[in-house]
Amino acid sequence: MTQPMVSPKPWWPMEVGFFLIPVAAFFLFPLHLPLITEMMILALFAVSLDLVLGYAGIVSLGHAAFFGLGAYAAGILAQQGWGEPLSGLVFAGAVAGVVGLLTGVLVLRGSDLTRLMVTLGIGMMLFEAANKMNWLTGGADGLQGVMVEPLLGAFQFDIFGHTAFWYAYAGLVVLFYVARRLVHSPFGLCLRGIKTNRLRMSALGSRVNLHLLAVYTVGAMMAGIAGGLLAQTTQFVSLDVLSFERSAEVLLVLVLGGPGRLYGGIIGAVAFTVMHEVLSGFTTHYWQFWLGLVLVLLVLFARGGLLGLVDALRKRAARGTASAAAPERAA
Amino acid sequence: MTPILETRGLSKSFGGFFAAADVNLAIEPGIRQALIGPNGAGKTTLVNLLTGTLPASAGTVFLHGQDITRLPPQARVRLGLSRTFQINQLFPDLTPLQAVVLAINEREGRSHRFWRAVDAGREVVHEAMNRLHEFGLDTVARERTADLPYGRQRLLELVLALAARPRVLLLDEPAAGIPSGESGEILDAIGRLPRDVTILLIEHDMDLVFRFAERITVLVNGRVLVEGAPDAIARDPEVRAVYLGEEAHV
Ligand SMILES: Nc1ncnc2c1ncn2[C@@H]1O[C@H](COP(=O)(O)OP(=O)(O)OP(=O)(O)O)[C@@H](O)[C@H]1O
Ligand SMILES: [Mg+2]
Repeated sequence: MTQPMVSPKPWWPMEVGFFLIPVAAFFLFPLHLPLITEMMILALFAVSLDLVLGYAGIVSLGHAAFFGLGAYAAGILAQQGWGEPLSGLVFAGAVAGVVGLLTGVLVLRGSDLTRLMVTLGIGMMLFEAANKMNWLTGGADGLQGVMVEPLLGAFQFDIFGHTAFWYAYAGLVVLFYVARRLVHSPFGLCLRGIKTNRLRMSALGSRVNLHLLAVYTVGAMMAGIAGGLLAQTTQFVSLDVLSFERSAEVLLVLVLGGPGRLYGGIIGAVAFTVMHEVLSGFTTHYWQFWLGLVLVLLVLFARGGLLGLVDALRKRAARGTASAAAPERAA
Repeated sequence: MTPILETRGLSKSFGGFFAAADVNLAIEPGIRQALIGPNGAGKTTLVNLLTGTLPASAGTVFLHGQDITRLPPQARVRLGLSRTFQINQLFPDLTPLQAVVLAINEREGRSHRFWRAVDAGREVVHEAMNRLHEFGLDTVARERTADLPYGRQRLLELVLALAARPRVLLLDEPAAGIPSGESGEILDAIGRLPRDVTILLIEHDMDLVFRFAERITVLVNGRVLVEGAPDAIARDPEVRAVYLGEEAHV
């Protein structure tokens, strides 16, 4: 009766172990801390998209809108003299959340194609707006003069990126925990229901649109915080935080890792970053060719991304042992 | 007695073709009523109009005397109007238990809770298991819905509609696609539902209809041809000509 229903009992020890990997990385790769920090921020960004796409089934080609809004919100706040980082992050999340709420109303309506176009369009508009509003955003030159105060009043953001690393790590862990609780809650189950059968959900009395709007807003807030983390840890915001490429990249990262599993965003971010580093070491300019190839193969032959692939292999192995055990039972 | 569900002049046109035309229904509380009619008569369309799945072109729907014509489907469900679908509308990747928990959460207005675990509410899980048990689904409660045999899925469709604790239940061919040996079981299960649930049943099998119904409405070409007690319907020459005669070669 108490057996869990949403997923096999979350395996805490393994999950804790997973989140200790970055700690190990901190000591193993001291020279790559900025890269790992950026990877963790990308992971958080991808997890935020997973809530929207993987769990609620809302396709988006403009998720960078919220990442970028958060980055500019935190960056401009610090530039204007409010350099306290935590409140800056809250501000970043709030700004992105409000815009998510307002634009979410438009995204609810219509088919997947409509949603793709609406999210794409909103992303483009924000990009151009930031480009034009030179006086506020610094335009194409980027936002200069972002001065972030020490974290908790004690830890200066240092040139080795130690503080930035732990700051981004904490952000990822805390928000991942929030997302994890959310997807295992009644609300999370409701989202999965909406994703698979909207008609049935409304026949159960569900306020489908309200729930979709809620998760879209949460996803936007989380993306905004990821953007805020990037602005604060790099003390700079460039226009590309709002670019279409960034929206496409986060979608790619999530599909690579496997949507609808929460860890897919993280695995995807690691795989993406490692591939980028390794492949561009070999072929400088053509690494995207290999990335594209991997993506195509993965989508065609392993639906569910890397984690989907792992699942499929595990299932095959389990079937192997089951059929091996079957004769025993028959005997 | 005042009807619990009533329509006046309810119509639906699909580009000039009337799938429902000037339908007047008055369903008494607690009754077991059947809606019959040949294929394409507009039975499913009528259910869709009653539940709000389709917007009406003209006319009014009343539930408990309240005009619900403009309410969205989910609001009607919360007023006690629930349905099953002719073609299963389930969650293939969820287990029956998850699906029923989902239905109960919706009924209780708990589906927005995002911080507690979904299986923390033990009474919800308990109720869900009881509901599944009633229809013999407790043994498959934790299997993937898509992996269940069709007959089981059909029962789950019914359990989900009931989990909303409806006052009025609209059943669109609940035994459709089930071997005729088993369809009687489903109808018996429906017949055992408590009397405080009003039931409108769409069904093609005349034996089942006459075993179940206290009142029968015959729909032809989107219009109510005749409505009455089962024996009156069975004797009605027009019904025999239009409908029961055709039934012989279905
Ligand atoms: N969305 C739609 N657009 C156009 N025509 C439709 C639509 N839905 C139903 N119809 C038409 O309306 C008529 C009634 O269809 P409906 O499905 O309500 O019949 P039914 O009585 O439920 O039939 P069956 O016994 O086969 O389930 C049919 O002629 C059908 O083709
Ligand atoms: Mg029908």
